[in-house]
Amino acid sequence: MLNRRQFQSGLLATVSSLWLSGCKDAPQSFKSLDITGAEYGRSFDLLDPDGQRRKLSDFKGRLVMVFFGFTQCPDVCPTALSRAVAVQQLLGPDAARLQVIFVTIDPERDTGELLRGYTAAFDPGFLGLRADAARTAAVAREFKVFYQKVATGSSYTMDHTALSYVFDPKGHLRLAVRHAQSADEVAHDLKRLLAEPA
Amino acid sequence: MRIDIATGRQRLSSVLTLTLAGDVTIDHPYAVPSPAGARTGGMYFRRLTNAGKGLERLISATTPIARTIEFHEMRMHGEVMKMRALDAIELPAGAELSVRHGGRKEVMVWVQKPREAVAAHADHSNH
Repeated sequence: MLNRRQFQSGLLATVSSLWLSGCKDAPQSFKSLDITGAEYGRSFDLLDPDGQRRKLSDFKGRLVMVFFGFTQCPDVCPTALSRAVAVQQLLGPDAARLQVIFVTIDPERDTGELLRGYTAAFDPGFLGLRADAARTAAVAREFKVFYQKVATGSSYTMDHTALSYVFDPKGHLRLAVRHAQSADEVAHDLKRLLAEPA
Repeated sequence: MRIDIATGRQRLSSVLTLTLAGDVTIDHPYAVPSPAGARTGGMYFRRLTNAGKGLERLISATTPIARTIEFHEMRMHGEVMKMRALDAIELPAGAELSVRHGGRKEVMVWVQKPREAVAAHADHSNH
């Protein structure tokens, strides 16, 4: 017959295993915003620095992380791309299964050449994409990305959405990564996506 | 890095950490290298302190590394980043303001300059 202590520790073990399994099976364990099933951000069709058309389907089988920004952005964009570099380091060999894409919302200034040098400054594998003003507006709308030119002195800056969007290897939009999230959190989420059954 | 900042009452100069004449202290001004192609960049301060009893306003800045310098306020509105030029950085009596890169800053100093100079200088300042 169980004494009181054995009973209590047995109960505790049962409770904690329930808790553990509950945790493991919890569907909401991404650190980023889980936007699985979103009816936006379904695709893009933009130009790379060589002027070649690049579509989401070109990257099937890999994770795709897309950030919308501009090269004259003094802080938020370099921060997001530096985080992407850190995420790749955290992924180790799995980094080969991630494509980072920077889409300019300032095509007026961001030429292909400029984008090429800019993304390479972070990682030679990062890809800068652009389009004309109308197509840029269309792709931003598709991704619910807000951007707006703001005059400042003799020049202008851009207000813009600072989320990074993540597609799984099947090409489905899954996550919106908030600007304040750490590289550790992003790497955690990407590993989770890579671990899903193919 | 040398940065001259003018308040309403005096012209101030600092090299890294310097206690300024008056009550405003600039602790460690710095910049991060601008990526290739970027003709703008942020400059930051570990801390701006006003130990005085009155409001101080930083109203302009000059530096040999940039054509223009603007003070900007940057805020996240939800997940949208918005940046606006400020007429001045206001430091109320006793205020401590930390202006760090990639942080939750509310104010930054924005420089505009052909990229080579900014990148080279920022690299140097990091050493």
